[in-house]
Amino acid sequence: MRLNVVSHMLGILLIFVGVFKIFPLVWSVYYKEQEVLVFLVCIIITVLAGYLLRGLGSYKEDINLKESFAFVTFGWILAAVFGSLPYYFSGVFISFADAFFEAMSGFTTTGATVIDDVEVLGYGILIWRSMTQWLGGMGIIALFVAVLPRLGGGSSQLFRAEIPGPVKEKIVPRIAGTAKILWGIYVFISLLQVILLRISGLSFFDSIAHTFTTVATGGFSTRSESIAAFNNPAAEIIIIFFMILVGINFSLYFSLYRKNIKSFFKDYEFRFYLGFLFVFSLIVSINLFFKEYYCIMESLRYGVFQVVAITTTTGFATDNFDMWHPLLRGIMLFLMFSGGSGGSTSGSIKQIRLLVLLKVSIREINKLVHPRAVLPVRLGNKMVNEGVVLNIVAFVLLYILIFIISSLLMTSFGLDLVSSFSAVAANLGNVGPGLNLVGPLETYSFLPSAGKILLSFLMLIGRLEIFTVMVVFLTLIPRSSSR
Amino acid sequence: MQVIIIGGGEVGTELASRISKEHDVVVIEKNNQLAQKINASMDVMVITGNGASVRILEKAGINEAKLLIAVTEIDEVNIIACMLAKNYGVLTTVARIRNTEYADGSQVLTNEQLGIDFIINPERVAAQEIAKMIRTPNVSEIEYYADGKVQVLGYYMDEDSPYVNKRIQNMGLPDDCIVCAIVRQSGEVIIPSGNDKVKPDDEIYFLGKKEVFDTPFLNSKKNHYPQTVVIAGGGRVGLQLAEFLENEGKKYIVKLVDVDKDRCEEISTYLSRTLVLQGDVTDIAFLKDEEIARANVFVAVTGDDEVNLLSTLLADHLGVKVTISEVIRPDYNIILNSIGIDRVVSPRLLTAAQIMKMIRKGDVISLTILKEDRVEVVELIVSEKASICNKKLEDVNLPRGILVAAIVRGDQIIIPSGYHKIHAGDRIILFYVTELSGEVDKYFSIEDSMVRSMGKALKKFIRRK
Repeated sequence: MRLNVVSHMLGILLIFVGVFKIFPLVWSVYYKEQEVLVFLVCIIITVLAGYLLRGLGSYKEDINLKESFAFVTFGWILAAVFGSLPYYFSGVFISFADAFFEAMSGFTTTGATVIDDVEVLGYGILIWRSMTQWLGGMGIIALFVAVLPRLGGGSSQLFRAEIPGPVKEKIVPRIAGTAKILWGIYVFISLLQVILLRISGLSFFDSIAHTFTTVATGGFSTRSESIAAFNNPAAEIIIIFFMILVGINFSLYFSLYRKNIKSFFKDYEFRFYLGFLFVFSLIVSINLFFKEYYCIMESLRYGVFQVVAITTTTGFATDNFDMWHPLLRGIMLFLMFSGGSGGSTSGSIKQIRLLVLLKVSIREINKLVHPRAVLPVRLGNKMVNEGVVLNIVAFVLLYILIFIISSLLMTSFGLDLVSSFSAVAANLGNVGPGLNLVGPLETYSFLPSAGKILLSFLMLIGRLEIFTVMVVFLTLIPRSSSR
Repeated sequence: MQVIIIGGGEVGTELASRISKEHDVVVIEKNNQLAQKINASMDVMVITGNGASVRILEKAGINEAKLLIAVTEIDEVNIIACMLAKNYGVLTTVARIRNTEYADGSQVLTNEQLGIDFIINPERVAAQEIAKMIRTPNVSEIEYYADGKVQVLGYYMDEDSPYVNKRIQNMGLPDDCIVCAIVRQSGEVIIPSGNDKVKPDDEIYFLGKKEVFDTPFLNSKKNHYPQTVVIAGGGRVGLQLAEFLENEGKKYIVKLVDVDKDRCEEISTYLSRTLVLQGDVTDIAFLKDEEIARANVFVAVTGDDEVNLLSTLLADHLGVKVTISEVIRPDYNIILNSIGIDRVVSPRLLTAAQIMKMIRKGDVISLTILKEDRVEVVELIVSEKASICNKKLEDVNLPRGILVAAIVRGDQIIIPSGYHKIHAGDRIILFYVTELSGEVDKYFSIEDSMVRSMGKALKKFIRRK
């Protein structure tokens, strides 16, 4: 691995991050906040650090696999480190671990927070908080690939290391073109939502902040009570709609754009995803009707919102679901493991993996009865490559393994079982709020620093879908130190 | 421009990696493993499937494609793909067709009916190339530019040539003729100035008006006929080469060696005067028994690079004067010179070069790849926006390694020196080492659109240390 090549690209990425901080700076200037100075200093530090790193390395077109894995992983870590500076310098947190947690939670679109009272924060900080999610939603590396001129074959490795989902197909011949299209769709959806939210009665600032966190399936809000604070059913419906929208594979929107409507609605994962949402919304709403609200409209309003918010790993809350019936709490915990479609902005395991896993399990049962049958795994009329199947099985296995180990580690900090399990599930799955001590109205601020670092790391693993980070930490780092 | 390449074999991969530098490329490959390999190594879209299937072609975006290159192993697939492509309105179609029955002009269906604009046959091209080398062993290459008015000649220097060990300025070349590239035996390529010396065993590229070469000033040695040619390998290349040589009459005594008995029997039915031998060309005893050492030319075209190189080295060692070997994987090029193999034919590169000639964009009239991709010759029309326009050549400070070899202005052909100026609309012939192709773009190409210049500015920003 050529460290100088990685460092050069990391430098450019940091300059990007620095440039993006101009957006919150504008808000701070507009509202004449004291954070203006903070943002100015942060921009200067970030850009300078970027130039320094870039200067240390040199540009190469032919980055190899190891370099791209290292770049993606360290790129995200550095983005979080430098993204946390505004929180740290403006005095929101005393400990850097808190600031790092908040920034990582932002970039990975988790939405877990360690800020007890969000409402006292300035506009600049709040919009930066939302913006980190928006950047991380489609992916900072994807943006990097889209904006920068060709990186040769290496750019597709970068792209694959970041884009979620087991099957990563290009939608146009060039990876830069693919990234541009995905970002284009993303920006388009965002604009649409800002307009609709504004119409529904939210302030311009709240519209932008919540759009950023909705389309990224992030879940940061400008209010401590999350969406519940607005008590605005129209806004809730809009947010539900957009959460569902961004949980769909983005390449499907491209086929829609190409007027290939048939392939949009024929997509097997898309159908499964909608069915999944529908069934669970129904179950939760019916249960809410009998156990909590006794009113159909209320039950639907809270039930559907919460199911969609947790399944797409957004993590907004319109109600304190931690107070619901234990069955419903259990369902919420389970939903944290599902996630949206592959190739969407949502986190967690993803629908397509669950689907394939289900099909493989059924196939193995069938094989016992028909030992000589050749049974490929099919999604609709498409066959799933055996290599992809194995990859999915390994992914889910690793996911569960990491979940178990981390949960045990969390209990070592003195948390009860429900809090530990839900905290890990919510952070590994980039959902945000968990249950009990880390419920939707609580925060993660009471955790010791070690716990926050652990959870930040889990967010990163979850966002980059395990393998990318594992490659770096299990093979690259130990080797480069010994050889 | 969208380009579809069907078949991700040797030729397909080579083409994809070249074309994808400038155009959007979609590769259709049947073999899953090959497809994955291509997908991982370059920025192209790879679709796994049959290139003759309508569904796959549509998935590859055939409606927007301007060029389709069908280079699968199977002629019929290539033909059908081209037929389909033409019906979809693809501007240019190229097909690799090996079976000469489809391509020799006597066929029932014309190329137009088949929807093929260009037919390429790598093995046939390779055989022709080798035949050329055998006929004139000292001449490595002849290319024509400016509608045949300018000729480029690659020439292997003998020790007894009068030019050897002289500086170029003292060579006393005829007027309107210059040395535009020297390839040293070590493989080093020099775009020379007047001070460079010519050494024995160098390969020299001359450029000049065509008339200059009509009078033989290089006084190359005449071949003594009949010559004995040993061809190792009875594959498509070997067989066609033997046929070519037989057609030359009694000038050549051809021996063809193949390791496979059945293949030998098959070949012997096609060839009348050739002695077909069954044996292993890497077996010294066999080579000695058949008196390979007394052959004038040894050609290794077994289709297996390792066997080719090894047998060529053996033949060289036994004392064969001229050895020619086929190299399929260009990866080996880096070691060829160090082990002493200089005359090499690569079907894959020849094919790629042929196709690249067709798709050069805009003002470029032709691009020739010489010496296994180490030197490129390009003929282009200078645009008025090019930075080299209207300046004296000596003031432009072209980097060493780029040479303006000829300027064609109307009917006039100028072999330029420092005080010549290039005007917009001139046709020029450029020699440059392949690594400098980016620099060539800088001096001679047009920055037409905002987007492109922005892209360049960004690129510059990244490259700067």
